[in-house]
Amino acid sequence: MTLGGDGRGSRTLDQIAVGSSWSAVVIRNLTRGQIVQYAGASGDFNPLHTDEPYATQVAGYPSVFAHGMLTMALTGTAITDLFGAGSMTRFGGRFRAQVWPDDTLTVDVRVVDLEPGDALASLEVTTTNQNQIVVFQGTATVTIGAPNKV
Amino acid sequence: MSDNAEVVFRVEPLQITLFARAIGDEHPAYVNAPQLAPPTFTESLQHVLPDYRFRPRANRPWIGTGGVAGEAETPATTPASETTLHAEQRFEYHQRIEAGAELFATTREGSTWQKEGRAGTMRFFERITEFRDARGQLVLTSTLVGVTVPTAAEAS
Repeated sequence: MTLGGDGRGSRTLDQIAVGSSWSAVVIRNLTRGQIVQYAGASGDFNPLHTDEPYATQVAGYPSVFAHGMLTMALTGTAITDLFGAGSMTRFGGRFRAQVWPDDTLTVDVRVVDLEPGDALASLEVTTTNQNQIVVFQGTATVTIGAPNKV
Repeated sequence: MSDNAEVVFRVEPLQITLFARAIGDEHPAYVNAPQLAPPTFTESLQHVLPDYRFRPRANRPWIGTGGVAGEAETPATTPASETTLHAEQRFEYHQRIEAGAELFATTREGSTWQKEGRAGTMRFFERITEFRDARGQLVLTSTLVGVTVPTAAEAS
């Protein structure tokens, strides 16, 4: 986190402005083990993610690949680390490319709008892999400096 | 699942812990009481959907490799020449979700559309799941956009 601190603090209005941006590496060298761990946690055991012979021989992919929702969840950590857990009021995006074992993902977060009255920030988020391929692209709205935020 | 069939989704503390570990985020808020649920936690609903097709069941045919012979009881809705991928996802958060909550989830189909891609026709569909509390107040809205593409084609 380029903002300093422990990367887990809530941001306050005077620390951000339209155009402020940050980036964070959210996963280094993703393991098949973590993909399986996510399958177990989410309940999604789709063999495209958990069954290498199925992914390669039946479905024709080079290997298993991560759930899109794992990529989205990893992306979300870059936002909640900046603005606090429970800060999001909206979060959405498109899965632009598959995430493979050994991938390293970097999330770029950019403030595109601020509503000081409501202390809301609109964010654009882009997640890229180690080859600068965009794997997830989306938006989020967060509350800033709300009381009782973690 | 069929439209509007209500599913009870209990937010178990250990499930929050397991989910937070799986997304590599053991934020104190997800660890310490009252244990907030991470933003995408409601994906765990898949564990309690009664006819969820990506849950292996022992001694029954499975859509992946191995297992006993036969047609999977909840077969793929698409032929082998096609693959359904998650194209887009949107969450709207109306209330915080903490451990111990009991939520009620209903899913309905949304819009469908199609467009031509490099590898052929891509057919999109929306699936909207609403989570409500015991008073019927909306807690979270989850909108999935899926796309069915020729097998091994890239998602758009």
